[in-house]
Amino acid sequence: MPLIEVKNLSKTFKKPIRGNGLGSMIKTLFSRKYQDIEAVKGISFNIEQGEIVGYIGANGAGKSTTIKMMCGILFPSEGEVLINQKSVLKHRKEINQEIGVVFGQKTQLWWDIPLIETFKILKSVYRVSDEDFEERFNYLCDLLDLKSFMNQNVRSLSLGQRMRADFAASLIHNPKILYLDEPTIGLDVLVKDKIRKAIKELNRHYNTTVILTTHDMKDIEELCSRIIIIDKGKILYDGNLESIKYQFGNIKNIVFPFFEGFKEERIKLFCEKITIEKLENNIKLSFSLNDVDLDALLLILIGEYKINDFKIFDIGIEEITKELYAQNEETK
Amino acid sequence: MRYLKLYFTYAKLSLMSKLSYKSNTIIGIIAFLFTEITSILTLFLIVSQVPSLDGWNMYEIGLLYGITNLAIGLDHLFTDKLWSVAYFEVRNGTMDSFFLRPLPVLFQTIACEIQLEAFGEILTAIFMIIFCSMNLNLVISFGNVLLLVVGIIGASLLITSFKIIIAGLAFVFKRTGAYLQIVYNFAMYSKYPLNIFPRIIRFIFSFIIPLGLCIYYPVSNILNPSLNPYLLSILIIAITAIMLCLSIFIWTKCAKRYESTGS
Repeated sequence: MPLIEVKNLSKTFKKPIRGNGLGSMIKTLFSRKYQDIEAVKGISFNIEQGEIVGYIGANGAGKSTTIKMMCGILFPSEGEVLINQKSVLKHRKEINQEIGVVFGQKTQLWWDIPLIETFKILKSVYRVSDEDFEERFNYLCDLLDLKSFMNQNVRSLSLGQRMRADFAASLIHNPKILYLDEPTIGLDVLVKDKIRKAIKELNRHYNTTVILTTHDMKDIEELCSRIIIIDKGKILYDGNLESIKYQFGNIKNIVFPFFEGFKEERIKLFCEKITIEKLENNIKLSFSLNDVDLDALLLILIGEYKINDFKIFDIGIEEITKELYAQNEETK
Repeated sequence: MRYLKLYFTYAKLSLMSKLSYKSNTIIGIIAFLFTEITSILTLFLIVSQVPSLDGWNMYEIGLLYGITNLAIGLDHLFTDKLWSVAYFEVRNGTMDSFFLRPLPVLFQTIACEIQLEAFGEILTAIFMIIFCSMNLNLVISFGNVLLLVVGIIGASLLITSFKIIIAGLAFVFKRTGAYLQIVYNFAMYSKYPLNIFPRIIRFIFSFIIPLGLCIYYPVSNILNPSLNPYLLSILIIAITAIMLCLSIFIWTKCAKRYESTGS
């Protein structure tokens, strides 16, 4: 029996159509027309206890909208979300006892008072017993290094400290499910690392189910055993990370500055399957490692052209989505 | 019992946050104090020019005014957050955290703020009540005092119920602050003797927004007993209870439609 069931979930936002200028604005006062914006279009999936699922897609793909419907703070236009076979809307208080939520953009801490007070009040809100509180509080403090600013006002915390605190606050009641909406947004590498480690550790220690949205490929690679890719409100891919990496992960990009004497034909002669793009002052080569021997290509670039300034990087999540989308269109 | 304890914890935190901006809080109280004092002076200035207003003299009007203001001040002290729900919170999607905790949303909304500015109203109201009472021959009896206390609490809860209903509608319509403002301003008229108004307004205050029932009749009774205070008390309690239940029902229904913002 799955822990979370998302059934045919849809969300349509109504946006009033407004013309420009005062005249048409007055007109809309009397008769208003709406344009439907479908943010999420009939998605379904199940999540089992203990999974770490990456929910990814470009900006505006419908990630946050889905997560919010799964938490029960956004009323769906159609479909429903069940946790433990209970509707999140009908059993809000009961479900809230089982979930923890961190939104990277918004804090849930009490703003003007010392951080420790937030934890104390959450203890009574979630009815955590003294022993459980003691155990988890110390565990989270150590895991996320919170001790040094526990008595500081939340207002005066840095973003990294605030995120760590938010993260700990969402876990104090030992939720079965943790929703993370861009938990590493705007953080430096060290804090990102700390948060990732904490997520892994929690999942291992308490078997917490984690659903996270992110734009950071590294978050996904280090954490997620399963990913769901969404674009324009529809699921493009739902499966494990390995197979999608196999499909796309072998694609590499090389970028270097344009120089006199560079000939496309030379590269094409080496291998037909390399795509060459000109971006302002740079040249971008994209290819799959299945077709191209990277060493040999580099030998040409460094040996023949004497390039000493270049970057190699993997395909990003945006490109994977683009590719998947294109494939989807073709199969139609 | 659990909620009572939680309420005090929430209230304590609210006071702690308020006190971290001491000067702002004090200036807020003083501002309300000034507003109240000027409107009272204006009232006295006008009333002192006429011998009586439909049979009410200056001190009687002052007493009515003070008692209404006490009810308004009590509501202001405890439920001020409802204003920002109606105006911004729903529209900006900042109520997410209330919906994510295993407590009733209305409870959290009310518990999370104690508005100290209301002391500006409460202090002037108490002063007015004492000052005017000393200049009047009140018919003090157990029944009349009980009726007055029930009336003040009832009026306060009635104002709260209307605020809950209109703020609750914001969950569906996104922004209802202006409507709340209209009803609230209208309720302010109950500071004046009901008899001076046209029949339609009297009707509204007795039956639709029954503030007149809670304040005007109890005050008339302590000045000039003509009604059974116990019966009237029971009527006030019944009406307030019905309105409160209705408002909580509407709020709960509407809150199910809460939509956080897209991002």
